[in-house]
Amino acid sequence: MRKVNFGALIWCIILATFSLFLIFLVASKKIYLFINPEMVKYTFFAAIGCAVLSAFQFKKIFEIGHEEKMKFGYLIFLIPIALGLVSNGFDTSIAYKKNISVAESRTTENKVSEDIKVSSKEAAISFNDKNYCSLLNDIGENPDRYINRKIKILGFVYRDNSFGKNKFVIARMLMTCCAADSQVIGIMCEYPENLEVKKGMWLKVQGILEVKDYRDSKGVVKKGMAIIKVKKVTKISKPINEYIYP
Amino acid sequence: MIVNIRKENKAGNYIIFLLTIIFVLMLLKVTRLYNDSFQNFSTIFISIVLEAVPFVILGAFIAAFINLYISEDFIKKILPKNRIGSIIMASFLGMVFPVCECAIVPIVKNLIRKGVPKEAAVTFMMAVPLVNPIVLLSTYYAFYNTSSIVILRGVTGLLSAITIGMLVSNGKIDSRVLREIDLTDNCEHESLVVGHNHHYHGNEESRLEVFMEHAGEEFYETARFLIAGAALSSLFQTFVSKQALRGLGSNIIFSILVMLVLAYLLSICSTADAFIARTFMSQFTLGSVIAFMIMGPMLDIKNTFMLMGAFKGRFVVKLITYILVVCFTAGIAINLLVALGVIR
Repeated sequence: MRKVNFGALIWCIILATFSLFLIFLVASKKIYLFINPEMVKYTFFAAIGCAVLSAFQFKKIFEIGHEEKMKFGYLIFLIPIALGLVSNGFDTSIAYKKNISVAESRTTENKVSEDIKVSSKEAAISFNDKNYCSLLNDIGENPDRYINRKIKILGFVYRDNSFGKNKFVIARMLMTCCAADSQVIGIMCEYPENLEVKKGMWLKVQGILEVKDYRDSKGVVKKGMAIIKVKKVTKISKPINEYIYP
Repeated sequence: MIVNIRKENKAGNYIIFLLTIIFVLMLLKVTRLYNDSFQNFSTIFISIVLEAVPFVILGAFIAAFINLYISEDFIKKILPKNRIGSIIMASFLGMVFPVCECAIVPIVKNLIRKGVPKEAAVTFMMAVPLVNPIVLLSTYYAFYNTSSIVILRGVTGLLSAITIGMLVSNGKIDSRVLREIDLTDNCEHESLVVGHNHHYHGNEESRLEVFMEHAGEEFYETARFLIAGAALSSLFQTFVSKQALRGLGSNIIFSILVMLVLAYLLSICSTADAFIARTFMSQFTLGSVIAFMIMGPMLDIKNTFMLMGAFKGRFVVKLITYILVVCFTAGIAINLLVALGVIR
């Protein structure tokens, strides 16, 4: 049996496998678990690059006369491939390790909700994947536009020990480039006692936006916080793409 | 023809091995707690690798191109003769070279091989991921279109890169900084390729084949360190809560230390770190946030490994020290200027 250049063979296979792995991720749309859709074109470039390198490496497999030692380092490339094939993306517990930005009113005036009358015929403000980020920012910058308006929003329940009674944050993961840099953004909700709300649940929330003082579990008061007074929640399943983008 | 077997970077491989063991252990655990952490770890890890790999490949191709097609004479012609001139030129080149930190190490390695003096090459390596137009633009968007932050980041970044270059130039002019592995082979193509090490080129090999082989090598060298660095960074991000650090935000000195450590461990791409930095603005001093945005593109876990693979150990230690000192000083300077009312 003709001897082959073993090191070159392994590297050729690894490059080809990596290329196929990238293509698989894009084709199966699993890539969106990890990186921003804008970056997918770069992944294509990487897949082509690896395929080209693999193709040129192919010829070297049959160059006998010197043996290229198998490098242990080649196997490292298999780790991301193996993990990528089995991964299903984040568990919501990661939210507690990441930075969270909760919408708060940036004006110093504390306009009280009772001052502003809004007709009940006014359309509800609906949050969707496209406007989530900008709407949240706007509520923080110009809360007056939204006081006493109906709000429809969905997200997962985020709650930690510092929150006041009957409070949770309805949150989404905001991804800029990749999952590693993603952050949690959301808005505070106040819910009636009889509602069962658990950490990590995906919910559709409907309520009225108020701007008022918020008291946390230690009694510290934050003035002028945007809080949704929850009227109704519906349990929903985790969206296929859980991320929103700026 | 006898070819020397390449000496591997042993330390890097041991760390990778260790991480493999951790990975296997996590795989075997069955309790729900470990399952969640493992899920989060692998998601972060894969995302860092996926995001960086295209740029590592790009860097490898550019590096191979420099190795094969740019001659030393050309470099000598375009670089200013004196140290300071070359450093300043290198720092401004950073503004037009839109490449991130993952791609820059193999490129700089090959520039040094072609005779670029180490101080100019290091300045270039620091400046490119820091002041390139994409990074500045994303900083602009991240901070709600405030140009003052962009200017602060850009100017401080440029000055830091230049300072680090000056510090690096204070050695013997011809001291070698690259970890060039033993070359004892008689390569017929020596005139084409500088500094390549172990392999054998047949007479039939075309320039294209040599180019591809080098690109493949540089890719291997850089990517394996990227993977190791990504794994470490992911471990940190999975198990350490960022919110624990917020208490030190207002202290003029500690805030900077915390942000420097964070920038190092998080290893975020310089095009996205502005978005993360912004979330710290409310509770951390301005100097510390700017220090975060300057340090990250220059030094973090990911490229520490890459640097160790390309440069001599002692040089890497010196470089890391210079970077830390310069970034810390920049942070303090900004905090002082804020305290004196010079900046808003």
